[in-house]
Amino acid sequence: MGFSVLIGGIVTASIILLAFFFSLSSFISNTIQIQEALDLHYKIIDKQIKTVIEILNDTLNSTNPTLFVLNKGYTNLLINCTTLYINGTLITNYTSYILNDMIDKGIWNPNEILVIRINGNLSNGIAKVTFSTCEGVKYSKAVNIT
Amino acid sequence: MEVPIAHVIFFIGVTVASYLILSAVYPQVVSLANAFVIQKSKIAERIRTVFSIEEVMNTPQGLMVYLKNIGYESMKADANSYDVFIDGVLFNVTNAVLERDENNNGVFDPGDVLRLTVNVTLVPGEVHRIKVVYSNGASDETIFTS
Repeated sequence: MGFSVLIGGIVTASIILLAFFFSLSSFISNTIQIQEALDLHYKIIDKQIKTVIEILNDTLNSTNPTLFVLNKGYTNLLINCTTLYINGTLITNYTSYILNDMIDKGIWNPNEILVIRINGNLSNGIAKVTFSTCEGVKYSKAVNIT
Repeated sequence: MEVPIAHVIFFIGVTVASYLILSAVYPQVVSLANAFVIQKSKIAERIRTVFSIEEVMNTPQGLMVYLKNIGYESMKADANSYDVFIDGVLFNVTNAVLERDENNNGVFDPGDVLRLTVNVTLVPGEVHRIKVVYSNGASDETIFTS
């Protein structure tokens, strides 16, 4: 009788362990995917912390507006998804390049200056210029357009 | 001869009991695992969704709010997917326009810029707090001068 109870106990324990194993493996798999998403999120925050930019201009020429933005941070930046706003309006009609881009061509490295040539004319007066990196790090400045 | 029969009876009894326990527990385990999968998917998507309020401009047509997708998840580009709170009060988003749509797919992809129009009249020169919440719970907030 003891033997049959032992066997039955083993069978019961095995079934419960199997069910536990399946739920545990599912839980671990889900945890890994959430951890991967968290890692991506931390990557954005890490990039934001290391990113510092500054608009160097105090004035802008109304007929040939060119903006100079310095990468003052500790990480290299992409320039394809940067954004420029003048008086709260998104400016899309501009070309940009990196001044004296000797290393990592096309990558905006620390201490390098991004030159932005706005196509078209701007109205004279004080304007709020905001420049934003791909990671959403912004720099705003009042610039005199003459 | 009587002992083996007792063994068999106990064994069958224990096996049946095990089956009953399993049939009661297993659906719950499966249900729990499925809940984990659904929850994982939502949490991971929420973590990968990151956007930034780039610029806020007070106009006679309403408040223009520029958002940049700085995360890893594509977002919807329709007004109903966003809630905008100004100083803690919910206001109606009347329009959503993709100002920059790199893939031209009508989706607010990473790197794209979306402009929301919020139906609110603000007195110029006042400082307000704005919070934008996406349908999956991702949010960003900032202060601005109207």
